[in-house]
Amino acid sequence: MEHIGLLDVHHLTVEYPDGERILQDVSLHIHEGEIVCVIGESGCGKSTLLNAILQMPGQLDIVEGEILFHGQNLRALPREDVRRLRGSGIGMVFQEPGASMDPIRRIGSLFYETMRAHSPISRREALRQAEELLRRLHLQDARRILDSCPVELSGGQKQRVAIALAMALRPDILLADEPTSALDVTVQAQIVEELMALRDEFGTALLVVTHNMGVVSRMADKVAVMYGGRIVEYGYRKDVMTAPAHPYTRALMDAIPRPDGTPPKAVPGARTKKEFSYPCPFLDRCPYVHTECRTRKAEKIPIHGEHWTLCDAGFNGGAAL
Amino acid sequence: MSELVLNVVSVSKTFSARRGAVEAVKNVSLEVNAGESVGLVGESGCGKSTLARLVTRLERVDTGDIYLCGERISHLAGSSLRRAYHNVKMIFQDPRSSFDPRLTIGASIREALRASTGMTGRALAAESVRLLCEVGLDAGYDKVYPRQISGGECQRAAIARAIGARPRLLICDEATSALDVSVQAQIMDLLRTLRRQHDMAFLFISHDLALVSSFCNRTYVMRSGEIVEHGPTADIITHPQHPYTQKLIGSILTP
Repeated sequence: MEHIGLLDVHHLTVEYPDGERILQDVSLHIHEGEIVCVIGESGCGKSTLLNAILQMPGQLDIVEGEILFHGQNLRALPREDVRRLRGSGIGMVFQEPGASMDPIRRIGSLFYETMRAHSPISRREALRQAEELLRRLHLQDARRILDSCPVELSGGQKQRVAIALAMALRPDILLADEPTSALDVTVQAQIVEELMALRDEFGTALLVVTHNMGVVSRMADKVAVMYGGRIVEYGYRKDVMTAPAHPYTRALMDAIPRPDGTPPKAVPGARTKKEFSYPCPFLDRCPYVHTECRTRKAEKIPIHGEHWTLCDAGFNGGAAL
Repeated sequence: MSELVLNVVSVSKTFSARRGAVEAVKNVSLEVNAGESVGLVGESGCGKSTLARLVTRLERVDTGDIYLCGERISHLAGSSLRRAYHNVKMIFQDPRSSFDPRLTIGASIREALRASTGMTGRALAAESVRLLCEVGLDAGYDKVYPRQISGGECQRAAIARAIGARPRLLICDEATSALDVSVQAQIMDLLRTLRRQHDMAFLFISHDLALVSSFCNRTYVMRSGEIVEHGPTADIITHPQHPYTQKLIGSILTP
């Protein structure tokens, strides 16, 4: 498979062991220092995509496809090499920062253990590096935080510690699963700024899964819109958000509450489980559906530069945003 | 002057914790007129949920008074309290945890209906199905368990259960925060429809000012237990007076 970016996902199809399909033919390329946001509603497969990239041990069968990191096929690597890459090459931040931390262990110990798992380091040196890292991420009171347990920190502080912890091993790319969803609006804005600073400070690429369109508009270079286990539209943020082509992307844009008081417009209907047997996953809910949709093959339609979609019926279907 | 459904007068509530007392609500006054939608915004820990719990009497006030449909309820007890409380219902952020996992959705709704309206037998069964249909769920949902349905469907069921008592006031405590934007928009549509059809007032608690502005005529901004600003929602969004409100608006991540 072709080596294009820092991380290349090629035609990834993933199922649960019982044969239920979750992802179908997902391809994505992330270049060094690039910020890509994946958006879509819960159950669309966006978290599964992250888990598959990380090769998390568990209930996922990769049926088809490849994941290349620096051109190296992760699926062909020995388990131990993948474990080493997780953390040091590919970092991870979760939605519930507290859930990934032992609540009664001091933050300093978490840093020490994380670093020690990847290279021999003394406790003193680990704490020194951790303190420096927290300072670089503009956390006040770095020493006090290292001395605290997760239960003593606020949600925002915990998420910032989780980001620092993920950065301790200087990964080339950071995967973040709904990093702001559990936080207040003011803290959300702060976390977004912080994640963006990682690129400036360390050159880290970011793959951020979110359903918060505000987060996307603030930080994304590129956007992948997922629906029913497939990427239905992809491109530079400006192209996707100002000229959405796929009917689902358009519906998603219309569903966002806006501060001017415009009521959000609901996407009619709900997801069905039949999506994978259809050529188009959005077929049952699409306002632009016509007879051809049931027979035609879903193929990428190039729009402009890297912007592509599986369907362009929404392109002229609504007023410009 | 229109009738007040909810009148909160100088209410305070302090919790004692190991590290000293926490003043969760400080001298808060708030009014909701009949049929009006009022927003209450602020970040977590600002006391907005505590205020809702005081209004629904899940907590008792320390000082101050709460009037519901003109009746002073902060000091009622027993059966008169239960009767007064049919006028207010509440839906929560996590609908699943507000249902008994071992009861079907239908059974939960019937239980609430029986308690509030005294209906029994066939009338009760018919009414629960009618309520499900009113919130956009078909009769099949009567027999499913909370874990078998999505968060959005569960929130619809919670709304069905709440409106069964024909409350004059529905308190929505971050009712759509756990839902996707597209599902959130569906629930907001439903609330808007219900508002048109029933003469129901809303106290809409959220940290999402954009969402509040699409639903509420007036908004209160709460911080550290106090109301720092209130007024017509549009004015608050366009001309925030208090520095905290300005910060809150500045941090809305708009697409």
